[in-house]
Amino acid sequence: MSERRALAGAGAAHLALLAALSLGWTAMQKPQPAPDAVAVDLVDISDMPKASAEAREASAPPAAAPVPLPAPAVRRVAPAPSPTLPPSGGGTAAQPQREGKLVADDVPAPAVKPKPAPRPKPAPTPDQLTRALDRSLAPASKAVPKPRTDPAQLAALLDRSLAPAPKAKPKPRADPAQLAALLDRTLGKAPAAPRAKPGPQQTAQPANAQLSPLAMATLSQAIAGKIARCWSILPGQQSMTVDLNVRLARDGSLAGPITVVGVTGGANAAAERSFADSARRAVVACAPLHDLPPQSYALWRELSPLHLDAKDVK
Amino acid sequence: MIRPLLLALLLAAPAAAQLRVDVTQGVSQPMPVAVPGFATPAPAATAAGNTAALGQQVAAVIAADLKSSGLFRPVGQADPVPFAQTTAPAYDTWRQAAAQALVTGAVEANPDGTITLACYLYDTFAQSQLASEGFRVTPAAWRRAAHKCADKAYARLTGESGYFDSQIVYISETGPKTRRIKRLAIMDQDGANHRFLTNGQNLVLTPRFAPNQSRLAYMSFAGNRPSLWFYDATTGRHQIVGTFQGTSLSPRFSPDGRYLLMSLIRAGNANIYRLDIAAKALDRLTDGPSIDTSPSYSPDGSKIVFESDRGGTQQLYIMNADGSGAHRLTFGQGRYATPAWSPRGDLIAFTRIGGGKLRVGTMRPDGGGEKLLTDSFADEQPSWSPNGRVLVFFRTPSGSATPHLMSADLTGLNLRTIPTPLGASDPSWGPLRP
Repeated sequence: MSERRALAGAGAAHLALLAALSLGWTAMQKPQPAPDAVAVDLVDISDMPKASAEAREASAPPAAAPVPLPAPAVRRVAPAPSPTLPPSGGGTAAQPQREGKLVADDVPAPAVKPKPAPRPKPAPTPDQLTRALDRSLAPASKAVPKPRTDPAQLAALLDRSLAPAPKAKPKPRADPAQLAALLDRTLGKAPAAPRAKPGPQQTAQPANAQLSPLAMATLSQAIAGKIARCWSILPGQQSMTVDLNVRLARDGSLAGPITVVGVTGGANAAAERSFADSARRAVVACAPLHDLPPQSYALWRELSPLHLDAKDVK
Repeated sequence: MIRPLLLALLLAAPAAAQLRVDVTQGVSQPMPVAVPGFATPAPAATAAGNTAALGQQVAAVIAADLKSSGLFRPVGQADPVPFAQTTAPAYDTWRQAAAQALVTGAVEANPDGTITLACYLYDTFAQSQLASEGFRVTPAAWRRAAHKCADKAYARLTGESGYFDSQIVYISETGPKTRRIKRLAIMDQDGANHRFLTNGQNLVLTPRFAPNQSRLAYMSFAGNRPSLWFYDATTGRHQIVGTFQGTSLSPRFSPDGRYLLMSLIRAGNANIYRLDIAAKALDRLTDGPSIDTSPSYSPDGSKIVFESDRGGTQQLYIMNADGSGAHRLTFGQGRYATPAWSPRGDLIAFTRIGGGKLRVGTMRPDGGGEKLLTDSFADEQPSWSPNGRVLVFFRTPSGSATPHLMSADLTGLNLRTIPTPLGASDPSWGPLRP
């Protein structure tokens, strides 16, 4: 009898255990509170300021797909003076997002404020250009003043190092300004910023003059050094190069939009566009390029190409 | 005669008037970006607070996202800009603050209870707008909208897709080593919106996101039987997929979400199997006396990288998706484990074991370009961010039994701790959210 009771008790205990276990299992499997299945709808914000100004009428139904945003219709005028818009647009207007490969992609230059005349006397700062030119010209003319060279003197020296045949002073057949204008038309390029009337010093160098290869290289290195100081890239962009076309005014400021001629080495067009942006920013940040020899303006008025290679950038 | 001369002069002139300049020096550094507080057209109360306060919080999230990437350095004021300046920035001000780019925008309350986050990206030097997008969300999801805005800016400024609006699932650990409580947990990639998905009653292991992000797989030892479970993030439901003969480990979805790879230990051997989720059909892909485990698909689904000791030591191998053509990938010193193929396809991340350390590294799928990203006592189990630029892994400091999550970029220089409330291991980074 006691054995039967014991068996019954054991059976009941097992049943109770099973029930407890199954309840525990159910409780265990009870899902935790689900995260909010939140959705993010992409909406057109091009008229946001306008909508706000007009007491925000009933909102439009959410768009299912990304909505491209054309130029935002800005009804409210910024209280602060709006910046001068670049020649090819920009400012508050949305730029069309070009997805293709970057070739001849005109990008806006910042506000260009051409100055009518070059700075009368650039400060005689120890500039790389002057030092480099001092060195490059030293063998040809030992009369070069040892310390810092005045840009005007430099230009005169550069003049002497020009053109291989110094038999007679080449008489320009056309006025340099006219020739430059002709060149502009011939090449079909955007006109440069209003050119200052050339002073006596500026006409010393004909527009089609050529520097010796050494002087050209020195001038090129001097400009490269200036721009390198302003160039920063994102980590990981070292595989890329970009060619820009940059036109400069006589005071070293930008004389027109910076043109991206080509980019190489990027994983995709978007990465190359980002890299080209960094190069363009460097030029804008560095402008105006000071202390370039004004007499040789014809030689540096167009940097083509301005080639930036990130391989060794650290 | 004069005309041809003039023409020749004109044609020759451009060569003389153009100077080639080669710039090969510069500096590689994070880009200074301004992220001032977002404006609001009219302060309004929402379920997540006033829109004016939300504007400040949104900007803080975006700035933190960009900074965490290691590619950007927030600069300038954190105070909100006037609403009108969200579409007409004061470029000079931002340039003076050394900002090369400006992320700004506004938070607006909608009549239906939602909020709209307007997001604008500007180039302060070119003085042009680079991108803009509006995101409408419930107030509770304002952080997602902020992450979306950060992703937009990141993508435009780097040329890579973003990864900020994504989640990480991992195993939360607490308690003594002999009675460790492990729970499945999920959070945003920055550690926010943390929540536990299981209650810790059963041991759970190896959570893995599915490519469509609404589902993740994990191993559970409920009832002391190792079984494969799915968790559906949209419904919050856990569902058992099956209990397989032998111990099952390391589930990993195929890129199309149709298959699930796992290794099953049977008769002392671990082999890799492919489960057709819809058909519930199981195919064995490897067969041998060795231990084959930790499989990971290439992003195109054609290859599988896995670890195996078939050559005598634990190394990485690559085989075709049907199990054919296996060849050894790693020949370096030490052992290699837990491979993960980048979603970009260009790299495979792994754990290298040697010299008394576990270190996380990457290499190309051809076995070249091996690079160790970490150098700590025990870093393991890397998982890729959706854009393949960042890795999350877990670190166990020397002398500690409590691991925590960390992230590293591909340079290994940008190491960051991802905050979790308790110990954390076995992370899996989910895809970018829609």
